[in-house]
Amino acid sequence: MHDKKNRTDDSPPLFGSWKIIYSLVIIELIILITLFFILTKVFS
Amino acid sequence: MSTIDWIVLCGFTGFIVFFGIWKTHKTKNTDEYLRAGKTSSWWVVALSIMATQASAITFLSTPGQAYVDGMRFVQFYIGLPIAMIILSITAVPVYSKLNVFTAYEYLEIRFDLKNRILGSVLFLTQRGLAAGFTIYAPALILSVILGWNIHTTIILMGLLVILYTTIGGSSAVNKTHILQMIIITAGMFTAFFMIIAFLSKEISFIDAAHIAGKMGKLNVIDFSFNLSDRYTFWSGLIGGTFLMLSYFGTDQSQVARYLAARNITQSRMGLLVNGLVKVPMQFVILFIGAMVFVFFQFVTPPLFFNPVETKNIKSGNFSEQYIALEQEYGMLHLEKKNIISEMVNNNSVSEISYQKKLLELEQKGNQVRDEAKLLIKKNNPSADLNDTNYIFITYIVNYLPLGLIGLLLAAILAASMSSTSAELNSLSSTTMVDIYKRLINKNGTDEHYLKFSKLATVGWGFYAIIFALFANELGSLIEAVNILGSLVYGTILGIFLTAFYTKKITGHSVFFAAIISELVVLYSYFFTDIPFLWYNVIGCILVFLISSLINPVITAKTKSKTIR
Repeated sequence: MHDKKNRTDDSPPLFGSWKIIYSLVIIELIILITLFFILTKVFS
Repeated sequence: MSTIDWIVLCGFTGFIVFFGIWKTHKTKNTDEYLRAGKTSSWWVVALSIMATQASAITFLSTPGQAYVDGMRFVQFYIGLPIAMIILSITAVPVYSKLNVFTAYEYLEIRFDLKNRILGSVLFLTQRGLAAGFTIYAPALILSVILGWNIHTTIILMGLLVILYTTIGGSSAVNKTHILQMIIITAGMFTAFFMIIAFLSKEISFIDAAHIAGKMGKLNVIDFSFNLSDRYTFWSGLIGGTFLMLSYFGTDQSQVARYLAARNITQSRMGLLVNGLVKVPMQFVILFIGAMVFVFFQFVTPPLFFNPVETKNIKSGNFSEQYIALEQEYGMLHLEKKNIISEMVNNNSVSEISYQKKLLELEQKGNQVRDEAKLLIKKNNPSADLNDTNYIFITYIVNYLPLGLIGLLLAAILAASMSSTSAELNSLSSTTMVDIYKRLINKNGTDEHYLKFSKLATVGWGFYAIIFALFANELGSLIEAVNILGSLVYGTILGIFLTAFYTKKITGHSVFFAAIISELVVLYSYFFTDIPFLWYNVIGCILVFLISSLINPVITAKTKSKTIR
């Protein structure tokens, strides 16, 4: 029973929903791209 | 190398091998051997995914790439976080629900046997060759440092990895990945902080960044849309996403990592944490390369970074000419160093006049290097003229303090072992589950399949060793591996995406579409100048389009035959 529950349980361990976690990944990527762009412009 | 470095290197490497064998030698069934018994937590999955992707090539070639070409290579990874999200939504639930051992099992469930075999064979061909590269890279370092014969080094390195992977299977791979990632991270941050510490004697960190930037090494993002340019934001975003979707969604060496998770949540979290960490990690590694470049603006670098070829030419007929070029290169370097010092002392790091002078001198220096390469080629026609892979290792061996050389080499070896072991394990799974058990022997006992899996691991290990023995003239290693992957990944991804997102397309249609697409990709590689990242897009879209177009015809023919 425990094993079966483990295999089907699909709630994320943090933030309550997968949509929030997906959004965090995308937001981090946008921030990184922005920082990379600034770095390229400032130091070139 | 000092005794302390040897102790550190052998201690870490020996402990990993011992730990892997000790913890997993009691593996009793194929589920434990091929999927680690499906018991892994998300953090183990995340570390394992990262360790599989971070090969020694990452540490050897990537800083060298930044030194030569700047940091634009980071754009290659921009699509990775997006791919992690798409896979978490699509592939992970499907694989988890079907409880498969390999990704290719799904292709038979969705289409038919021939698509499963096609996917497996493309994977085995590509990954088998790539495993050769991952053994070759650290063997190259050791042969250069110790002066060993590279062939002997490849064989010894390969045997070490084969040993613990064969004994413990996927359990050994996952358990050793945790240790290996700890050593890799420690090595990476040590290299980063040491280079910054060395630079601070001459200049500030910000000055160093300005120098790297002025000389074209901090070119991280390029938004121009140029199909002939290998690394741009768009090629990374579009081509990179397709490549990463294929690598993480259809390449068994990665799929096996999250198939080992104890449930769907753990698999998803493992992938998404990788999506958060990978781009900054690559940035740090490339930034180390850019800082090594700045370091060598204050310390004269070798004219050519491969010490073996340098030694050869200095003992040959072109010795005098080469030494003259070395002197010319030294003079140019001195002039460049003086300008940089003047620029820093005058607080004029932003002045364009200095940048022009520096770039001019850099170009002259590159011309001298080109002349030196021509001499090396004349001296030894079979010489490898690409010295990118020797740049970072030259810095490590010659400038890091005692003990840290051993740590960095241990990190490089750990990276190599982590990816090679995952590759051998996945090659073994696919050979056993998709080929042997499916086509050759369907009624064996679990014990028999376990023995076969171990035998397959040894077999693929030797195959990789043989390929590694012939791998030393293929240019920059990391690019060679990615090019190799891009030749087949697009087609494989096309098959999987058609499987995930369409309901009506049949096995016949997707199979023929895949064959045609692969031929087009190979044609593009051999007869056009299209950068390799786009092969992933071309292969994938073609499979999808062609299968959609021919599906009505093929379905009609099949129906007509059935009626007759």
